[in-house]
Amino acid sequence: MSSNTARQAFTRFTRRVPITRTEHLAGDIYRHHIHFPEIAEGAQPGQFVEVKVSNDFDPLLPRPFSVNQVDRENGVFTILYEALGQFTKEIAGMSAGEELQILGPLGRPYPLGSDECDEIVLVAGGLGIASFYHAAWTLREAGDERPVRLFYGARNRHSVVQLEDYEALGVSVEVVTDDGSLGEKALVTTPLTRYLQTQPRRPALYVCGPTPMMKAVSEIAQIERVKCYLSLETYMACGIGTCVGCAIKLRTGDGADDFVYGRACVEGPVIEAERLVW
Amino acid sequence: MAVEIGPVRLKNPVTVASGTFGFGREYAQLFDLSQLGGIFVKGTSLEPRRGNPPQRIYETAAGMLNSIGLQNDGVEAFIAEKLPFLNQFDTQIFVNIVGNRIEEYAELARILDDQPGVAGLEINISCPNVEHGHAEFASDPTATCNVVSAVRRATGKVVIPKLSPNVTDITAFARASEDGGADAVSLINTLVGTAIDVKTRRFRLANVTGGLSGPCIKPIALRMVYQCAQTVSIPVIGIGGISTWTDAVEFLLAGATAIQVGTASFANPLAALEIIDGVEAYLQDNGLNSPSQITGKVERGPVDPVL
Ligand SMILES: Cc1cc2nc3c(=O)[nH]c(=O)nc-3n(C[C@H](O)[C@H](O)[C@H](O)COP(=O)(O)OP(=O)(O)OC[C@H]3O[C@@H](n4cnc5c(N)ncnc54)[C@H](O)[C@@H]3O)c2cc1C
Ligand SMILES: Cc1cc2nc3c(=O)[nH]c(=O)nc-3n(C[C@H](O)[C@H](O)[C@H](O)COP(=O)(O)O)c2cc1C
Ligand code: FES
Repeated sequence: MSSNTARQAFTRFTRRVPITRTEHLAGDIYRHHIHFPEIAEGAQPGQFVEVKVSNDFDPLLPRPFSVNQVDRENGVFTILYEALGQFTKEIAGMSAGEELQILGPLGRPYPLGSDECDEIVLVAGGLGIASFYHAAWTLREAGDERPVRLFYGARNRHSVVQLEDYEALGVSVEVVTDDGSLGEKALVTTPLTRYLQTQPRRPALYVCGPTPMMKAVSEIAQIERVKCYLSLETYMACGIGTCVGCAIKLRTGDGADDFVYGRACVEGPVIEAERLVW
Repeated sequence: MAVEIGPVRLKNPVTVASGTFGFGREYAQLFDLSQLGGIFVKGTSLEPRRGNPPQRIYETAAGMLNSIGLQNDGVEAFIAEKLPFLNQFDTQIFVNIVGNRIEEYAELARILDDQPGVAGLEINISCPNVEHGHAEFASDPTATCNVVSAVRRATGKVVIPKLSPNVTDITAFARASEDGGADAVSLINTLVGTAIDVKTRRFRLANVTGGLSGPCIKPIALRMVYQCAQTVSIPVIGIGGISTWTDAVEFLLAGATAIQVGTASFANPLAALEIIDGVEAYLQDNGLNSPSQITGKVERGPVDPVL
């Protein structure tokens, strides 16, 4: 193959690009708008980007963040995150005009096709909410008329974000909090189970949140026999599939030893719950 | 910018390190692999290997620990599925081979000897992340010599043993490799390390220890490349923490004929390309046209902090 043919196939992109806007949404939660037309255009819901501030060695590895929202017209996408550790605290202090090094779009998206289900049920725990706006928006943009529901569990009312955005898209939202400061004082599995017991028409669950929550939702999905997709937040290095550092156990049969190690960044981050060995 | 490793010509001295570039497919989504001097593919064994359980990676100060455990689909899958893809590009392909016994290395060499798309074999006798097997090849110069000569007999391809830094005197292994008939040596593989989570009081890696790589190992790697280049007359391929063109030039000055970019690709997938451009500009600025003109040209002398 000549170099030119190889070049035409480029599907991932990396370069330093400017932040166009920074929002402080709540508590320690921020959103950056980033100018990167190829990613705004090409990212599918559930995909992520790898982010680094510079070529510094501290931290050395880039950090993965979901594509939260895209604005194709302006060539901008957003990431939404909580300033928890060294890296997220550092980027929270950055403002419009400063640059980030971005690699993306990466990973396997949410399968949202209409043959999957008659109803889209999004289940978010904490910052797991970040990946869902792009999904709900894409469905509406495509003229998909299936109902979209969001079950959203957060620590307290100060850590709930983007509610109006979902409502504007016509998504039915049910929020619960750990302390009852907004919605019911419950884990997100409580309203979800209640809802599934009303026996809705062929729903599919799309889940992103802390591991114990995703495990609990997978178990519920198995009992209720509904399709369930998890978006995993595994520790990553390359984010693109070369290092095999982000290993997840994927079932290949029924025996205890019937599994292979897949890559969360390529075979995931979105994975059918029944394929995952916990 | 071309350099020679035995009979194999690299269009430039910048290659990518085994285990940090997969089998090329992923980074081919980003740039044209034909720009690289060569690609050292992920460690490949006779039979598929599942690899170690997670957690497999952990970031440390200016580096990372990994305990991947040489997960790979085996040599047959490499030839059927990976090699044709790699051969679309105008670059040299080196297969990093892994075995538990000498016969396995020789068998891998025989199988790959038939493949015109393979330029050479990098003998991985130095991976710290698998339980049994090749620890002895890495820690006993006689065993190193034996495995190298067994591979040498089994193939006409370029043979490059990859040396472990986890030894007292790495030059003994470079010499043993040369005695065994190696065309070149590459070094260094990762340094064995570990990390502990004080909150849970557990090791960060499921395998307890892992291989340390990245900028933090560069001074050690550079010293070892210098020592080995002083010891043997075959080419030395420098590896360890190379992230920028200045790092690469340091390795060339220390005695490397070519270099491999590893962990730096995770931080910046275009690192190898930026290094190629930087080395080329450095040579030009100094009125030179070949990297070999600076190989081993480091000098001792008074240190001028201003220069
Ligand atoms: C596919 C994917 C999508 C993600 N999307 C989002 C998102 O949209 N918003 C968001 O807030 N967070 C997201 N995360 C998690 C985010 O990557 C971590 O919060 C971030 O790395 C924290 O870095 P830090 O240095 O601030 O924190 P640290 O102090 O380093 O760690 C805080 C937490 O982040 C985890 N973490 C640290 N380094 C990595 C790494 N290299 N890879 C993965 N996890 C790491 C740690 O396990 C720890 O739990 C996502 C993770 C993945 C894998
Ligand atoms: C994730 C990872 C996987 C690796 N896998 C291999 C391997 O399969 N075979 C091998 O010989 N070296 C392997 N290495 C070692 C590298 O090729 C290289 O020798 C080492 O990382 C030092 O270079 P660096 O600091 O530039 O990364 C691996 C390194 C990393 C970080
Ligand atoms: S993070 Fe490197 S393979 Fe997934």
